[in-house]
Amino acid sequence: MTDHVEGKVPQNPAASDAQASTADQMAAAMAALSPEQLMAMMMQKCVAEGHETYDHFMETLDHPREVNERLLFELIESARDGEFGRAHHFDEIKTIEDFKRLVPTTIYDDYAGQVFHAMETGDCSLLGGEPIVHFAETSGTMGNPKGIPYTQRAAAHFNRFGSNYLFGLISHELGAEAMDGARLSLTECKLSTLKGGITYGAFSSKVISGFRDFLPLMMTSPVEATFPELGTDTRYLHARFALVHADIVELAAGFISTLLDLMRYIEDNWEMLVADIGAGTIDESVRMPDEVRASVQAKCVADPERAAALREQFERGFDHPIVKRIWPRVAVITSISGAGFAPYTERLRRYIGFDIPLYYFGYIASEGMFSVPVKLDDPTSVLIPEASYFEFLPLGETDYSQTIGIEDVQPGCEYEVVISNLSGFFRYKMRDAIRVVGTYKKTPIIEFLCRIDQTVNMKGEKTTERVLSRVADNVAARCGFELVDYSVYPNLDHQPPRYEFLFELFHPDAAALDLDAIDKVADEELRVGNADMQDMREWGDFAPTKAFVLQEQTSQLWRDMRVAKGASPNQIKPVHIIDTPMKRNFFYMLIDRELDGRAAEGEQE
Amino acid sequence: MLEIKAVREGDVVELVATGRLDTLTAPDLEAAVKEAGGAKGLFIDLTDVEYVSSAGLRVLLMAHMQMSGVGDFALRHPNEYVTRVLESTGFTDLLTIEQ
Repeated sequence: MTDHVEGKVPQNPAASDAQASTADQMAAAMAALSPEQLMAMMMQKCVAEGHETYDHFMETLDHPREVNERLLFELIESARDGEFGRAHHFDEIKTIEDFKRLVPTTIYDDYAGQVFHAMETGDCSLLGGEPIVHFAETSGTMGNPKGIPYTQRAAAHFNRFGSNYLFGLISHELGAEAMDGARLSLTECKLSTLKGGITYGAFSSKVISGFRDFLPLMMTSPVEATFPELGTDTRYLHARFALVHADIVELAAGFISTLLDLMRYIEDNWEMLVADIGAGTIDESVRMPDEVRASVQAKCVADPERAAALREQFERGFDHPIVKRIWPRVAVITSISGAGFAPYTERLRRYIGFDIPLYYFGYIASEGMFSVPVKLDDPTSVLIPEASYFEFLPLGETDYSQTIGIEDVQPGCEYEVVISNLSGFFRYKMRDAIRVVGTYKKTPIIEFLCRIDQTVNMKGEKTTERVLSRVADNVAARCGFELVDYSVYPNLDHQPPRYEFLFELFHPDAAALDLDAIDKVADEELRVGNADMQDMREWGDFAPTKAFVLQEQTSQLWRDMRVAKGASPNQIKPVHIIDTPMKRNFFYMLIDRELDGRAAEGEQE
Repeated sequence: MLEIKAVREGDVVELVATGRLDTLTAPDLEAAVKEAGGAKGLFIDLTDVEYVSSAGLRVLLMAHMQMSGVGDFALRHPNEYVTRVLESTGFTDLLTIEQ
């Protein structure tokens, strides 16, 4: 039994951080300083805050249980007078056992009514203690987009670990000077204000919006790309304005797939980009609204010298990694790059090679930033004891009264994650699976496995997205094509059921494609990837796997459609599992039937 | 192969496309749409477009976004196959399609 801990544990500076508005401080300083002075001041501030956050985090890792339980009781105290706290007798909770006995596990629907009320009216009292400063738009992986509340404390936590800590770790590993230069950030913001006056959108959009006036000092991309208007070709803008800079030190993207897209765009369009840089123009074929074009054009300066240097490198081809040849100072790539995104990271190697370290963002969701890496180039990460109160249930178990705490998990074991977060969600089932791979100090090192509900499970075989990604990658490697992306449809209409892979290839060579061989390899790889499939295929539970080829630009079209329908660009993930009729109609209609003569309509049914 | 004829009447432009709207030809339509920039109405006649691919759809979407808040935009008279592509991919929820 563990009581509310009052012992000597590291104090959380988040509350005081939250009060200080960095943007306001910077605005005051801006008036008196030159851009160069301001940049130097910002660097100093980043380094100082980064080191402070890094040191504090390291300290918490020696006492994860104490820190984590202390956090829980702070959260209980703060929410005890809210609707949820009253309903679940928060005032009676004295121990962890009380907490688990009195508070049931929850899902989003348990809060949906209160969240909707708060979003509509701005009245957040039903949600509990702390004021809500933002509603995060989720990526809607598992359904329609929804709003996740952010308290001031949650917002401060994201800032500390999404920005300060990142800076702290990188400067700790590479030296502060490694980050002293320009940044290419592919973040694109979409932020709205709800009826109740609270902002809604990806939380990163809110953070960046606070720095809007300072972005030209911090990032290579113009604000017209970071806050894009509908109809703007943002890839051109990101690429063009990044290529102008020879001194970029960091490439940053929410999802690594976005960076891969950009590099492919540069490979396909470098001649136009170089011509524009040399002449200080924007090619007429690049789409953007007229007022955006005028605004961006005003920022373009002819730079024939840089254009010539770029041309020389591009003309040497892309078979040798291009990034260091055009941006020799790039020290790090920061992005969500592991788990489901690992295949994109591998494909990106063609451009980045193996000598630029990656900062893998850890386990992050709209509900919280739960872990961070403790070294570069490592897809595993260490839980942040101050991020949420963590409970873990061995994967496959269903009795949530048997959850265990942060120090009780065992290396090598896999768990479902239940959190009580900084924004008023208690015992909330994330429906995520993680594996504990070790211990750092006394805190678990984890790797994200998959979303538990994001699996293909037609007959109990439970093939995770991760396995599907590995299958897709192995098929591409064995069959000699470069993959843009893939989707899988569990075809239950086919008898017996079968897995159908839809591959989009990068500039496919139709003559070299042997589609029957791709079917066969996909089937083999699926049986290797999921041992249950091996047996079930032999027993005849499943028909052989089928592969189709999608038309070029299908993934990009999906993304464009989502943006046109109002989705936040940073939140759009690839569709790896086709789980709705809408997605099925979309992707199957865009099978390349000219390339795949076998893909007659009847074959899909 | 895609042929595009631009018909301008005052502030309104109609692009009459004939052929295949695919990866190879989509840039031609994109250029024509760009040239129509400034028009208060843009219409793309698809009567004689026999095929449209993902790349072509992206240009149609781009045209829609270019005209958003500026003026009218519609696709005109797609054949049965193209209509089915537009329906299946969700374009009919986004764009005006005149049969």
